Amino acid sequence: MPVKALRTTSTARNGLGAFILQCKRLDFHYCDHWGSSRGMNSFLTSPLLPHLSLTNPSIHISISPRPSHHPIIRASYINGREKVICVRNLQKEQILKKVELLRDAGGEKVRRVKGGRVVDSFGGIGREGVRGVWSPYHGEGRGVDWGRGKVER
Amino acid sequence: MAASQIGVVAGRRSLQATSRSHYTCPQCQLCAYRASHKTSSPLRHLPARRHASFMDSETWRKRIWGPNPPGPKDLYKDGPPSFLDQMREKRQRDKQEEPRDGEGKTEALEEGIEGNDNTEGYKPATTWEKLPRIGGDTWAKNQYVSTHSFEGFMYSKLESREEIIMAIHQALVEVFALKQADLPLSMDVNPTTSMPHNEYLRWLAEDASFEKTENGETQLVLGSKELQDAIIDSIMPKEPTEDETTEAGAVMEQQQPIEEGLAEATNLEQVDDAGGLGGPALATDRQHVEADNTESVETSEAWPLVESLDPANIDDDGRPIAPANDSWRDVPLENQAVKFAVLKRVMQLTGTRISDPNIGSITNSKILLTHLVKKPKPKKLADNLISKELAELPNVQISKRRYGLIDKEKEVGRWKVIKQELEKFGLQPIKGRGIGRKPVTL
Repeated sequence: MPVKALRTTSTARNGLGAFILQCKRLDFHYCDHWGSSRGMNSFLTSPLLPHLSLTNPSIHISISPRPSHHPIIRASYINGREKVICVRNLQKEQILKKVELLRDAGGEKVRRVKGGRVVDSFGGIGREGVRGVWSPYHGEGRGVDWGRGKVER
Repeated sequence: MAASQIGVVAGRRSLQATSRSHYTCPQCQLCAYRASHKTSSPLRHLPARRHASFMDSETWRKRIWGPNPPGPKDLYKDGPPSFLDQMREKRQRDKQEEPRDGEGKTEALEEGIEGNDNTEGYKPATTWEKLPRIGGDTWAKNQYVSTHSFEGFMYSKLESREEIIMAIHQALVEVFALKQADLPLSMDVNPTTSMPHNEYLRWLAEDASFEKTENGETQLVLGSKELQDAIIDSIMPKEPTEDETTEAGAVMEQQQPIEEGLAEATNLEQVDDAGGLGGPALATDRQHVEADNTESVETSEAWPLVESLDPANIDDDGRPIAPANDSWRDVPLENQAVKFAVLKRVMQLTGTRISDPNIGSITNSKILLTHLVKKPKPKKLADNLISKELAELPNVQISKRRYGLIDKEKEVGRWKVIKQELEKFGLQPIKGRGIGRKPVTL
């Protein structure tokens, strides 16, 4: 008897059909006076922020002062949760890394992965795939046309 | 056995009984011990109320003063009444002398009413509107401040670069004019001239410049002798009148030894302290000299050389008055007497005080300018960001104010709904937070 294939449907996941960035908003708060905000101030005036906003057009970036407080970056996600990172006394390159961390994260709470499970690409082989797990951030990517020409990621 | 003996024996037996059969706590044991040993207390001979009066001070007094000590034997009994006793007696005397409530006050009121006969047009007030208010937290201070206005040495500050440059040029010309005329480098506290300030400045800007001689020294070059006379006549200290000499003389005598010490130590030219930066003497001298100036100047009008220059320091063409050339920039200020005279005059003209640590670093007029011209106030970061291309990006929002909860609600569009609901319940929407929050007026 011929082997019948099992009819299965693919599990719905973000990125399977279309990838939707979970981070929808980034709030940058700085202080004009406090010394811990110097790095943040230089980050805001540097070309790093405009490049970030151009490469991530789906993220709403808001910049506002927060006097007499340390500088923070607040990220809002689609699931309604927020994540905040205090970037006091950091340089602008370090702040950029934190921004990328927030952008790439989802809104889920950071939980400890128990059992040492391996994320496998091929649905249950129990070991890491040779080619690795797919992510939307690698490869050619897709460009967005803002009317000024395509902006490549 | 007597009753007392029975009682004592019973007591002893009870003690013995308790010690053998029953447990007694340490506290009870202590009480029993004290009761039994009460008669032999070491402090028994001292009175319960310890006062220094019971101590025999005679032996100590004899030890200190000898066989015949002065003063009363017992200060507490025989001596004068203590301070507290004196105060108590005084209070009692005052109470007896005080009139009873209302007696003294009504007498004073009656006197006041009797003295004031002019009651025409008098109408007792029903409210306190338009009535003069006397007393309160700041009333006394305001009364003093309104009658004692302070006029400092330095006038209103100059802000613009052109005015400061003209002030430096004027100060340099005046000091060098005095130096070349072999006159002491002392100026009148309130210099005046026979022409308006604007004209004087224009004359200085056009006809005064600096040149370097063959020896390398800087020399002032004036266009005409009249200009030199006008400068010297305006800034030379005027002689005070007879009334002022007696008052100013007392002040001068106090400062003379200081001047002599300075002159000896540093070999500087004598600086007349009437025009100097000394604080307390200055105000009185200035007032006297001001009064004197109006009398001594022969022309009909005396124009002060220090004014608020905002509208006046402008040419007929509408441009600010500026020196004709830049020769004033390279004038050296290494001679200490010249330097201090220039700095004093510049501070008076510009209203900007140069601090002592910075004075040492000033060696020429160019450096002096850098200390006087204020740097522009640093802009807020929000202003910087708005002016850049970042603000033009469609997904970027920049705000100058702190982004608060109400701003968040407004963005989403919920604030209108919240406000309407609050008004339905008769509550006013709150603006701000904390103690300083104010209700929004509808």
